[in-house]
Amino acid sequence: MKPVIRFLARLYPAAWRRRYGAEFDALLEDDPASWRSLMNVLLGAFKMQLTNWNFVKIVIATAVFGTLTAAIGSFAIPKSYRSTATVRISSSGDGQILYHSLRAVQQQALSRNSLTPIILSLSLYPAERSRVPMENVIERMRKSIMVKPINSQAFTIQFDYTDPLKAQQAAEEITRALLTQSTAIRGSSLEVLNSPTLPSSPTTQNRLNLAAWGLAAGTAVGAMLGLLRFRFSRTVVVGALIGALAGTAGSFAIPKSYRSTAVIRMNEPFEVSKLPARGVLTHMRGRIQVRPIQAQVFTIQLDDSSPVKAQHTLQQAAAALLAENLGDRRYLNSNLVLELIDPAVYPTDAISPNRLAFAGWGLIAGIGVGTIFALFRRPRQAA
Amino acid sequence: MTDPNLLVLASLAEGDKHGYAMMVDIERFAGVRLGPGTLYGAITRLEEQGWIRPVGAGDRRQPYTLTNAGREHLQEKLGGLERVVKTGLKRLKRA
Repeated sequence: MKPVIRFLARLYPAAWRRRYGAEFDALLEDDPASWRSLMNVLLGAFKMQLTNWNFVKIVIATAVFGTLTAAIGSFAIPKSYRSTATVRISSSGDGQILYHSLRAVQQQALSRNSLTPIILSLSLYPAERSRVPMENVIERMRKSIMVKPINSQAFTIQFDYTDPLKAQQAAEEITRALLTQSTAIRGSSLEVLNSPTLPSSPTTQNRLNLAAWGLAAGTAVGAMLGLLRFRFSRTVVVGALIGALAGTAGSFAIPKSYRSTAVIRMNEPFEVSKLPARGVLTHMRGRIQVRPIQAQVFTIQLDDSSPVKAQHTLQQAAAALLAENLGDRRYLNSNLVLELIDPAVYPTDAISPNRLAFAGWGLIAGIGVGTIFALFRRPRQAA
Repeated sequence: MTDPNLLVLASLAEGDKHGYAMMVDIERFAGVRLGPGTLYGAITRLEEQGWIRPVGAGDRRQPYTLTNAGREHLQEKLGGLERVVKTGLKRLKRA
């Protein structure tokens, strides 16, 4: 770490380095290197530079600072390992049908019924399982699974996890579940070309993403700090800051809304008109949203200010919908079969208000008001 | 008490010291670990004020000493702090 700290010491102003550089380097040699020292030298250089910088220098320095801070901060995030398997699709059928069938199989393989045994048998996400309901753990696992097509005949299955061995084992289980489900695709079969890999090094994508965000944030902050030097810009920047703060504060006055989602599959191509509509959907029209996500799979969603109510009401709605379907099959000889793939999820995060959007709109409004204010103020001062 | 300027002056009141010696001394008597950037920020400001100056540049580890103005400033600051400490302690005893 010492070479990094010595490099950061070069960020001090040249004039300061000429006077204190040699003795500061001597101090860095004596001082045991640590993350605290590293941040301290970085901040010290930043403060020292701020005293005599121009606009460009401020932007460059804050961008470097933002990037380094984000990159260093990213080390606090647990390492993630990615296991990858390659699967080939052999098919004699229509490509479009195959695509839809594969999507349906994927949905089934990533369903609660498939993922729950994997989570339990491999003891995945122990911390999360002690804190949040199983639905949320499953949702978390789904986000770590990626199915990416390579070409029309092959795709990869990737799974990210903090333990490389468990990442591989889980990827094996997921691939096995996918292969088991693939027997449902007529005229086609899946074949594993490459078994899930045992990742030797962690994926660095998160660190790069974070560093990129740090760069963007540092550049934005630097531009604002730089603009504060000019009288006209100062009014605009202050307006923007007040706008962003007011937007954020205003968003707190709006009640939160939580969305619970359940996934249902039907044995025919999806059409809303096919759904049993005697009770639940008619009764709760406007509250429940029905959205197709694949040819035969759709979601029902319900928003409420209480996450518990959102989940509970949707659970009842899903149960009522399935009961109505059963009734139709018995009394109306309907062939439609609805199957609940994923029950209503307990929403942990609110979907609205989007505070970032409120802050963004406040920022834009503040820039507008600040610009008008600055334009009107200038002639008066000149007069 | 975490003002780096005052801590550096208090450290040099004992005798001339270079950067790392000040860092160790301050940690010993005040329980505060000044980072390299904070320490040299304070040294820069104190030298600009004329309260400390470099002495005997033998090697890269540059020692500093208190100037007369620095000594007076430190006495004035510590005197003020002493009054605050005494008053606070007296009031605590009465309460």
